[in-house]
Amino acid sequence: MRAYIVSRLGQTALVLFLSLTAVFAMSRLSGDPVLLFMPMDIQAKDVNEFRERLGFNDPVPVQYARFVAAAARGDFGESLRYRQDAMGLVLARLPATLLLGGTSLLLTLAVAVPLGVLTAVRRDGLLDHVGTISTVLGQATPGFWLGLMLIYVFSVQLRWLPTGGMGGVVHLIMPSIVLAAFYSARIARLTRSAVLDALGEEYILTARAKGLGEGRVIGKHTLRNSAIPIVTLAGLEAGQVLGGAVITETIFAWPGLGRLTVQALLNRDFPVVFAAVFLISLMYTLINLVVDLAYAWLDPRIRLR
Amino acid sequence: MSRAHRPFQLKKWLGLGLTLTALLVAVGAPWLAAHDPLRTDFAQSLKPPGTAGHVLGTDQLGRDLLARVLHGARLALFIGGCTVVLTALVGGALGLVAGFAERWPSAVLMRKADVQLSFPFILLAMTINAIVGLGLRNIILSLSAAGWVVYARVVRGEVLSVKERDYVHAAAALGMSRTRLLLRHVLPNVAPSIVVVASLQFSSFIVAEAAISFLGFGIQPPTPAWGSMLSESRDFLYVAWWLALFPGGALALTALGVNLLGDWLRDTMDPKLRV
Repeated sequence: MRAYIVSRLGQTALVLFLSLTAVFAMSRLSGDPVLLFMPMDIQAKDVNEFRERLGFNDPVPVQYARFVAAAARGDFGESLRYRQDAMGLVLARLPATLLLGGTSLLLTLAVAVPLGVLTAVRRDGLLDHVGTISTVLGQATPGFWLGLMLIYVFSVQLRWLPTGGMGGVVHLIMPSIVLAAFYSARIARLTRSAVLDALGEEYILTARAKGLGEGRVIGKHTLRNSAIPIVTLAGLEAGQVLGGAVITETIFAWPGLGRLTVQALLNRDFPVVFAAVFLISLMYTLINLVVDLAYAWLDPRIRLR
Repeated sequence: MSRAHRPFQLKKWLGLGLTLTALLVAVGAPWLAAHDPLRTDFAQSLKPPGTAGHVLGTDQLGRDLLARVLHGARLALFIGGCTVVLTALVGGALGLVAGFAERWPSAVLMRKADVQLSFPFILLAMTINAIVGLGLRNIILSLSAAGWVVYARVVRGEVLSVKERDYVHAAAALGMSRTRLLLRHVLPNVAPSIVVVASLQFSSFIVAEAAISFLGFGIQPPTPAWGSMLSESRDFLYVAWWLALFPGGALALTALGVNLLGDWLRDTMDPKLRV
């Protein structure tokens, strides 16, 4: 187990280092990075001064080393718009995104896993067909359109819920449903197929043959064995939830990381963009590390491989 | 697969029907639409669906919504199609090489894929767009730059298993060159996976383009793209629901059709593939 943890930690460190490199490479995509790092109303005569001050006249390897060293301390420069530390701005918005993401994750697990299990157990029954149709629809419906439609029905017509912003629990309802919809559809489909796979195994036949009640067969023998693919997908999709938050937060004016990133992109405030992109990549990588370690702990076959 | 009854046939026909409709609309938009999608008519602005001459109503500038939705299909399928072809070629080729060459090309490619997958797809494409500039060509390029990874991973995995099969070993023993082996024996056997991944990716590219245009980094108004139409509709949600309903509905139906088709293809061609 220790060797496994050490090698996973090493891989994680490598991926993080490479993702910093990717951010650096992105900042050079436009050819002239000065244009990304200076205020929009700058005069042409000041460009050179800026280039010198930001160090863009140095050789690229020197710039790269300086970028990585600064980023390792969490320093991505100063926001061009707010004149504050970019990473500080991003971190200040993180709790709102975690609240929204956590709520929709709970919602997903509360809806999708039971739905997946029920549709698998009642295969080809009415519930299975209804469930399959709704998961297919859920996967195909773009979140931003679902959001607009919910706002139209519940805010414009019925006036039950606020159109956006952050405040009480009522503000959380629509954004977390929109964010959970796509995710739930995938988790429900995967749970269904994982449970179906497990139900075909011989140990289930054995469990039934020795006279176990259906509740224990499903609740214990089947569910535990179908947990691994579900946990894997939940981890892999966490990054896409963070990506979905970019859109959901924009529609519902939710003051989180995603909305900050979109605004920073629109304002061409690239230090903030790069800090946010890196933070999201960092969170995703750490979530996957935790998921990997969790199933090495759950399943000895993985850590002995 | 044993459960080859009703639901599967529904998948196939609904998927084929919706996808073919979207394709026909995309190709035939200029002939199907009675109006120019860009012609403004302020006397006719914000008319509800069913207004004489405007079946789906008009937008804030009096442009015919039906014409705009139809032309939107053209743009969506064009962008989705170009991206799918580009990513399949690049990702497929890289996956083939990585699977076949092993050692360092494989390791480099897979680490690159890990890193790229740690950035949310939409955010990555959007950031690239914000840096290199907006427009049709750039959105195709940024979607491709963000989307090739899936093919590379799947194809590499398939190649690793195909190249250990007996017929490949036999051909190698007969002295066939590596390039020929790759093209004659390995490629045809991984092609079904490429097709399946492409069809499943197609709908996510269409939705991603719409999302990026919705957020303002893709196709810009007044060009009738579903995403930018939805973005404009937000300002009129209180007075004109149809501006949000129809472009989004068209997008959802297209995505649904392509998704179902991809699912059906996977079930028939490659049931074990998990994408």
